[in-house]
Amino acid sequence: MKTVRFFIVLIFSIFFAFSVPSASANEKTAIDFVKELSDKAISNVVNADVDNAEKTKRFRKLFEEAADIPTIGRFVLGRHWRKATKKERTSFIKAFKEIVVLSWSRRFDDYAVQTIEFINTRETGRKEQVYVESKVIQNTGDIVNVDWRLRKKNDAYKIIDINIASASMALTYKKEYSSVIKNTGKGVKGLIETLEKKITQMIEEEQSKTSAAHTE
Amino acid sequence: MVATKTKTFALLLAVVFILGNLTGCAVAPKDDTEALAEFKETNDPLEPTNRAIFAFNKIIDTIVVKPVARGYRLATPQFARNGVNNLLSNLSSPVVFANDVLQWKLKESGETLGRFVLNSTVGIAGLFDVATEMGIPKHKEDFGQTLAVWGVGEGPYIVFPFVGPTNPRDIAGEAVDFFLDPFNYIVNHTDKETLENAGYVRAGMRVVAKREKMLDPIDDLERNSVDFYVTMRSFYRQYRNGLIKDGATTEEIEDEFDDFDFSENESIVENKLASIEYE
Repeated sequence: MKTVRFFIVLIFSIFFAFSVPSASANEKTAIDFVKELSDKAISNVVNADVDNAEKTKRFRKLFEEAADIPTIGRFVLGRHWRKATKKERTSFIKAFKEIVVLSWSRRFDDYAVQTIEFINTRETGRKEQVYVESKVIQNTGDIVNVDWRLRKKNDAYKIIDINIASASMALTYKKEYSSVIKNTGKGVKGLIETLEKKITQMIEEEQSKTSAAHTE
Repeated sequence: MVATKTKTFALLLAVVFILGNLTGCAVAPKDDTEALAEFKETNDPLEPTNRAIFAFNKIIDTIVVKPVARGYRLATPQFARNGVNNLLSNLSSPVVFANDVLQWKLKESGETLGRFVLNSTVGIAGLFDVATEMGIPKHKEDFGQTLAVWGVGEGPYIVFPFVGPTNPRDIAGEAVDFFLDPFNYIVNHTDKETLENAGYVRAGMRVVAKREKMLDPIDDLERNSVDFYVTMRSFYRQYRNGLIKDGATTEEIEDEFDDFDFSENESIVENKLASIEYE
């Protein structure tokens, strides 16, 4: 057994010794991309000594730079994208982006992240896309696996999805919104109305939370 | 004890039956092929009933489970809760071990066995997870996952009263895991009352400790979603599939991205949208 295993390892090492240079260069940049992004998010947003409104603003900018929002939005809307008018598409992407931004800016308050460990990359079914695997270690000691799906476009990486504990954010939004479209019975227009109502509610919650924090 | 268990079960059945009759089944869309494909993919034919039970569970959670979990969090320091979590997780490792073997994951089964021995001794009856610190990782296996590895399908999505999101495969899995668990065997075959009570304490602590861990994530999902029921359904399924695949990309996610047309022509025009400010 031992000798067999030794030879298998040997063959693999030889194989990888030749194939590694290009692969590891790719791997490094994908991991570096997410690493730099998370460093930036932690220093400029999460731990920055600014008020919540400024944090949200900074995160929005970071999100716009790092994620391919129109592609994610198109993915999330799925088969309903085709039927949507130009105006509906624009309104949807605007609203969807805001939902994501407001959700995350609230998370920065709630979860104290101790460290993020970047382990390695994992291939996807498409060669221009890759997952960067990370472990987010919270102050409570809980470890959550977070996989970042990146897509290379014009030699630059963009985030197109994040898996938290194996659950794809994009897919979860897609399922949710598809159900809303079905249940409101008013197509994409009904979804946009629902999202806009939700945004108003989220902004109000955030403001009442901030003012409560000030009076304390 | 057996009588009360039967009573509880009868009550559960009654709740399911009444809610089922009040709400009925979801109707498959007939004329639209895409909608029909989506209906099949969603695999939730009992959706109206499930939604009713989901609402019922939420009430129970709001008035009982969540307040208890909150109280537990307030009353205990983090290291104590970590100890409880480690203890519970150590007690369930025989079941994990059995399922490692049933899935023929020999390396993992060795790790689970090693963890159990180490944590039960050096880790003082499982209060401390010394094995993780020594680099022997913890992993999750249960009979629901084993069935999936053996090729059994999940069946329709079910929201169970008091229990929450599940499916027939995971219900069967829970039942088998109960019998695979040597500690259940010990507490059910004892004359000592203290040992019998330990079984109930463990079951109760499991619910409270699990809910405490999930306080923030579930609040988060609820606060940020516009259809909490669907978010939970989707999250449950993806989370379980992730466990079955041990963290590798699940078929569902890969299929979705394979089916998606990434071609640029549309998104180049829409790219300007990325920087539009929401007013």
